[in-house]
Amino acid sequence: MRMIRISLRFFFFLTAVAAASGCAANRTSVHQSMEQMIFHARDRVFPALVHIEPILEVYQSGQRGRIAVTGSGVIFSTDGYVLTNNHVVERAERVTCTLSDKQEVTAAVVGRDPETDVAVIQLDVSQVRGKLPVAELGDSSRLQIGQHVMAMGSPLGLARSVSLGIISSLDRYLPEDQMPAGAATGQFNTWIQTDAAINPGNSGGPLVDLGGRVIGINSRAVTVFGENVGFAIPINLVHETAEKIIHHGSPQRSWLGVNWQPLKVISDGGARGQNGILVGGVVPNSPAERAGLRAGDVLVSYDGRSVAVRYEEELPPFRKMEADTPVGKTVQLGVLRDGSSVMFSAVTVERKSAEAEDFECREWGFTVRAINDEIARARNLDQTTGVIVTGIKRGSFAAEGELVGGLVIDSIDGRPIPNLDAFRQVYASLVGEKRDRVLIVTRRGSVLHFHLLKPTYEKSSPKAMDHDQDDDQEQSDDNDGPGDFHHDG
Amino acid sequence: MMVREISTMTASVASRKCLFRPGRVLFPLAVSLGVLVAASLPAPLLASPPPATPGYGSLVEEGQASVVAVRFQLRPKERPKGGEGQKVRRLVCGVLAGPPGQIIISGDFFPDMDDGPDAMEPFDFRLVMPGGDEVPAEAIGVDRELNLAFLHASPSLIRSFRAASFDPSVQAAVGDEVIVVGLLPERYNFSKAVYPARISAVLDQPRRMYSLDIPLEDLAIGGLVLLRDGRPLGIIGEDLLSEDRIQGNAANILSLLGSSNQGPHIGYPFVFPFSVFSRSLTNPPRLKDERRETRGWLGITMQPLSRDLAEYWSISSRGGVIVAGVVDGSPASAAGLSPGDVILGVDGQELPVRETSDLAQMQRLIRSAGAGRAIPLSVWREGAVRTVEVRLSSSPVTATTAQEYEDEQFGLKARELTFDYLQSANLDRSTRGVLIIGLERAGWAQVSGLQTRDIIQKVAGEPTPDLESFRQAMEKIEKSRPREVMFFILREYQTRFVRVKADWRGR
Repeated sequence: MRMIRISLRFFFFLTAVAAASGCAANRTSVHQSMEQMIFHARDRVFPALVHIEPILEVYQSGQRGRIAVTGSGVIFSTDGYVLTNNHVVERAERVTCTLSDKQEVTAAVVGRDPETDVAVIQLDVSQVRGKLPVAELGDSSRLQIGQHVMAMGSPLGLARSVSLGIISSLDRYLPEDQMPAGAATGQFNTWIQTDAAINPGNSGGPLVDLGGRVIGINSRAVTVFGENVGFAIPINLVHETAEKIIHHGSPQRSWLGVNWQPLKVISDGGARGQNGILVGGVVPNSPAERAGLRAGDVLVSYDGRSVAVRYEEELPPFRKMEADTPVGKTVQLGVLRDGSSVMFSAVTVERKSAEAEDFECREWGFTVRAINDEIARARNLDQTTGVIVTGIKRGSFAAEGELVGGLVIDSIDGRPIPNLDAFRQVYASLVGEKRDRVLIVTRRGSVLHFHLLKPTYEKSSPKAMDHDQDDDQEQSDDNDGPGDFHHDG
Repeated sequence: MMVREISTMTASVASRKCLFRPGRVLFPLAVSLGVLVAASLPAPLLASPPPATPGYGSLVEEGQASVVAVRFQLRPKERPKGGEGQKVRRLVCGVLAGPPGQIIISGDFFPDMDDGPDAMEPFDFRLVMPGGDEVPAEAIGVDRELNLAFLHASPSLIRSFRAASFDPSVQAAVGDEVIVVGLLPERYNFSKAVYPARISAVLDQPRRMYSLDIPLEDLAIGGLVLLRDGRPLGIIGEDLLSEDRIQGNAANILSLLGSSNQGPHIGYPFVFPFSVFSRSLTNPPRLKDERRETRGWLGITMQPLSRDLAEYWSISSRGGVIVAGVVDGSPASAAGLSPGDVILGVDGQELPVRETSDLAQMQRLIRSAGAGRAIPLSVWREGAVRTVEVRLSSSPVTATTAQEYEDEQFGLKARELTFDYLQSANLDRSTRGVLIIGLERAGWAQVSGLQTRDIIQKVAGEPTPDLESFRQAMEKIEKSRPREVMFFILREYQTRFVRVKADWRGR
């Protein structure tokens, strides 16, 4: 597991997945050669393959910039809907797609879901000449380990590639805490692991069976200590999520606020014949806490259905069951506490994403982000007021004022900053009057810090040229480590 | 770990890190002449400075009798298992002064009570007699403010030395000629060496000090300083730089690597006149009296009042300490201090605090005021300055001084939670448990998934709100030897259970 922990990274704009062959053996002549099956599958999916070149907005090192990336996608409806990864089109300002016949078509982002890494974009069909090819989606619940699959996409920006491999595993569970911060996905699925080559640029591309049906969307790969270990999101979850995105704009999930753990943590397999799911912790002010659940409880039934999660790879289906509950529904939770059965009822609330809006203070040289419940929770902030500093431009007025990433801005020049909108207003008005002394008060827990910025203003600030995303420009974007307070004794 | 910076502030003088400065080339020459050098050699041979009058004669002889080589060893404050830990030999120059049998040396090597268990502490002090014999000595006290330590040896065993006879009326001015008496290295039998120099600056902050216009050899630091007429002026002490200043500037550290003296701190050598240390000389702060309970504590988190902020708030002072945070239940909180207040003075003394590195001054003032004392603070709040009286308490346990508990069976080391850790980790002050600070590689705790910085709140169902209850829970487990133990922990912002297996074979 350690190897995976070290190496599991989103290849931004880049992961690719590999190919496969198929489950089609029973449907095709046994005399048909493998090669012909591959040709067949290729011809069914290749036309619907899309090379995606988004221009993404990035907030890095205290400034807003743009980067051009490449990814993959697959057309799954004649309306021009394309499946891809969230991380391919996250914060995209503009998306240009190249179809298999080399036509360039612009696309709009219909919706994204960071939690599954699924996104739907729609081609501007008015620009398309001819009939739009569509790939057929398969059924990921019927896959088998060992089955041939193919990864298709645009690895390293090279359009239309296919690589071949087999399904190495179907119940690969990647724990949240072993993924890069802010990029945890796979809460609701186990991954299809394949040895088909997946490279940067394959992200968002289809994993295809030998019958030419899309059975997964390639999303991640292990790069540092692994080879031929790629991960795809099962197509059934992708499809379901995409439909919700298309019809509702969001995945609309329910949330109770429990840190679920597999039962094996507290009891050996079968020793006591016990079933259920362990409550590892309850989020303060969550539906679960209001209902009365607490750490150590064992959930044995959820809304009338008995539940059992003995091993961690059984967690995603249960989390999905929780998420699929209609928002606002009252659910009955059957719990085993200290040996006796207790029933609780909880009202689900909508599961919120940790995504939040960013803002660049170009004149002062830093970037901030809105604080939502998820961010507050993850950073142990006691409230969601203020904005969080995300980056400082080197040599900026903010850097001079010793502003650092991770601090929460409480007030500016005596004006309270309850949220990002307020921050924007205060910033605009101070910049408008060319204020040359700005006192920013930040907070970490109950400790304040006072920063005096002394900005000067150009008559007109020249448009920033393409700045390199180079690492040494990076000033620690988050300086949250403990221990830099100065106490008096 | 070498650390001392060059003596002088004068830019023209070569710094110690320079390998080829004239002083070093001349060294063997001086050495071959042994102790006579001081008395008979014309000064220009020794160093660049003053065209000194040849021959110090008996003037210097008198002073030399109080300078002595002191050997000692360093070992870890807390001994590791299976030995005493790695020991290091050290050598410094000391001066006999004050009551019979008392020697002053640098306080550099004496760890503060805030230093962790890895800090080295000195022991086995020995004075080197002229014939090479050694006489044991004992450390009795350290003046932290002056960075001076006081040793004691039996007066009857060190009759060949004479205590320096300081006179409080002796002063010096810029340009005055002085003579530094130090030692040559061990291979030259610690022969006395004298260095003529001139006073290049007279400082009043943080105390009266004189800078010299020559670089100083390691064994001149701690040595005696005489006026040209032979009257003792003071000793070569070191003004310590604060940790912040050292850590803040990598280049600074590099520039200090060239020297061979090895104290744990970084400081600039200066002449400390007698008036500065006279009180400590007769009544040195006793090592055994150094206790946390006696030290004053206010309970604030501090930010220096920079010039910019002072200007913004229109505060016309030489500096100050911004109250950034107030610890619940602390003297500061009882006195009504709140974040945003600026402390401009403590007990009538102003606070020239402008930078982070200056904050140590405030810390020193509060600590030395002592627990239980009520002191007036001059506090600026929203434009008005008023006096606030605070009654200091003793400092609570902090992360560096907190108790630890190590469990060998599971391979984990835990520490009690302290207010400063909770504050820096953004955790609620009411958080209870013990903090994992170390895990044995491939030990049961690590293999089972416990991580450092996890906060253990329950073990096998028993709440462990503090280290003592954790210790008891672990000792109970040691007796019952279960095959596995359930830990309930807080990791980042979520609680969870972790099942830890144990193997009691061979125990």
